[in-house]
Amino acid sequence: MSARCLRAQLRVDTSAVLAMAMADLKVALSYRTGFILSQVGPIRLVVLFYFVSRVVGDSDTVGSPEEYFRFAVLGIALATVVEQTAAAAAQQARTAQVQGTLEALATQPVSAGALAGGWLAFPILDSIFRAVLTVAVALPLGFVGASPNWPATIIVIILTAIVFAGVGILGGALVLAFQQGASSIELIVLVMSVVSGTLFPVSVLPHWLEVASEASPMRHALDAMRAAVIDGSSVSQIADQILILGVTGAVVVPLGYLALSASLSHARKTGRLGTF
Amino acid sequence: MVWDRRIGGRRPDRIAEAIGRIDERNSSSPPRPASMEPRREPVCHPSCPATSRGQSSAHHIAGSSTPCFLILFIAASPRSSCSPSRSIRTHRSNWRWRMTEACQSSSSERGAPGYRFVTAIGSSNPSRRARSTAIAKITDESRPPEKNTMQGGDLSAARTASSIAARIEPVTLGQGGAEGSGPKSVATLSSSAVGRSDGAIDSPGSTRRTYHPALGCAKVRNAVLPATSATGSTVSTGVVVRSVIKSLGGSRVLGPVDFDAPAGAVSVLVGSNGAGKTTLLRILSTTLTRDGGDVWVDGFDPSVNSLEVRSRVGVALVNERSLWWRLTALQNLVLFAGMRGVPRSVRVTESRALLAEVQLAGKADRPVSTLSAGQRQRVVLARALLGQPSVLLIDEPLRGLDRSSIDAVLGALQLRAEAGACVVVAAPLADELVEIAASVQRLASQAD
Repeated sequence: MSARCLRAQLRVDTSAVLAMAMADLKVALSYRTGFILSQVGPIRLVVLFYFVSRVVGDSDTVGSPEEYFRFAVLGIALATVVEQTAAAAAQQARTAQVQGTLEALATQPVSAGALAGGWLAFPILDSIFRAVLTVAVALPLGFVGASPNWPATIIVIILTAIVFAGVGILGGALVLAFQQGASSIELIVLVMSVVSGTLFPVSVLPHWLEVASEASPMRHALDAMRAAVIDGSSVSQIADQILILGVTGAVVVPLGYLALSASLSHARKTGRLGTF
Repeated sequence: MVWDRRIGGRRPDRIAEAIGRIDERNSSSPPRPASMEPRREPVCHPSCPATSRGQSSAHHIAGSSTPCFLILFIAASPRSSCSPSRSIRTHRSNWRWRMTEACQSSSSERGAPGYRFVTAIGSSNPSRRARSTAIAKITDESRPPEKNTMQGGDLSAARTASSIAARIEPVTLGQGGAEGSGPKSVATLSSSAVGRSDGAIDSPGSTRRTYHPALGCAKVRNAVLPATSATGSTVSTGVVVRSVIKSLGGSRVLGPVDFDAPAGAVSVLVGSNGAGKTTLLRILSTTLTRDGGDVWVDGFDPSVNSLEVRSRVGVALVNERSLWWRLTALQNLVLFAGMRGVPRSVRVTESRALLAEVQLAGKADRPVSTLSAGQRQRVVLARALLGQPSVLLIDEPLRGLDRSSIDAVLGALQLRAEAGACVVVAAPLADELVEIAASVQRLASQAD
């Protein structure tokens, strides 16, 4: 395929991704109450952990109440991005199957990558908005003392989204192949968030679990995020975590794409695009 | 009666009659016979910038008293005007947006409603452009010299009945397509070689550079063109199916089946429930892969070049759930237009035009969930027409539609065929479809 054709296909795919994201946004906005409640969900957790921090603070493990509150708020914010991104493609694929739009999407001249991108675009942006909203709400509650290194923070957020988008695409592939799998991805992310130190330090985990949590990309994302936002660590200072996230993303995203392509082929062979 | 002359099987007066009804509805005036039509100020297509500026469509004909039957123009930009002097122009971008519009003349002393509607929206593909130009000429020649004569009900019914009797030629499986069947043979199928618009001939199995309508670029075709059809002819465009079989869940659901649908004609595929009509359409639209046999859609193998095939086909399967019900009909079409790579500047215009074409102009801003089943079905059909596909795969388009909607749908499909598209319609019964069908091919049930 010539460079011109590649550019043209990229243009069509980009247009398709934007169209799918816009469709998701419009559908979400059509459920006004539900949309508003979904946005304030993380805020409820922030308020909750503000008071929890008053109780569990002042210990060697979690530090002062203010320190624990910062710790928890960043955990909630990043977990929002991770959970929504990882579960998005599978949920969207399943919704499209049940609603019947999947077959219509499959007849459009978009690549498998664009299909995955369309499923992920809105959830990722929505989750990042919620994460920012979470931190914004935490500011008047005492989220102070942070000196964020913005380049490092942004890089960590992007890499985290990429890694878990890959996980999400794998989930979408599962749904296309077996018409289920969304709950499996949600379970994996739930376990990951528990052992990765979202709301408490991993040092309180049993030693074997603490070691095992090293395999979780979410732990490295949380460590890098807290270092960048709270301590103001630069990119070079969190290079290890960035490298781990980058390598993980470089493996998971192509893997997800291949799995999605294979699942689409399988669904086309078995006629499952039009059934659920 | 001179009106025996037909364009693709559908009498022009029937098209004019249907379009006349659309006009009547759009103007919210009670329907009246064409002969009683008062002299009306012509109205342009909504996409015409002059319309938005409040100008009449008289600018189309620049004051001429000659009716403007069909004006080909390329809207170089949304602000461009469609005057005759600018009727055909080239565009530097990959997308060339051509609207074939038949405007009603302001000099309608004869009372003829004339032809007025948008048909094909073409690309820069020279062959397509040539094809549309040819169609414009055909339509022009076929226009009645006198006022549009509405056929009486009895005569119309008799003609329809005789038409049905003449055209239904059941084709058993494995015997090839119904090439040349029906009252009008399709020229494309009578060709003995893989013809191209430039007169060149491709040898079977060759590869060549071709135009990608959605991508707007040339790319190497690696599909193998069919050598010859069952009757010895070869087609370069349209749909060719040879000995295709498909099994699902361990049981045969299709074939082996041969089927030909040439470009520039409406091919109707009839068969009882479970015969495999929808399965065949799914195979053609790449949502299902075949187990055996050969398939070419516009010269491409759906299994090998699925992206190219999808960029060329417009699909309307019987599944009204395939829309976003929370969104309006217009929003649905605009979003799918984005997925088809339709330029942003014309998405709304084209979507509104298509909705108007299927008589849903007044429902464009209503959520799909509030539409009736027949209206949703027409939204699905309008979606299939987005992005000027060269192949249309339509499943049971008339199911549950009222008479006026049937006319609108038939008119829309026929106009696409006239513009050079290959239109494949599947239905359990031919019924009204014979009015526009170039051929009717029967798919035998697997139980037969």
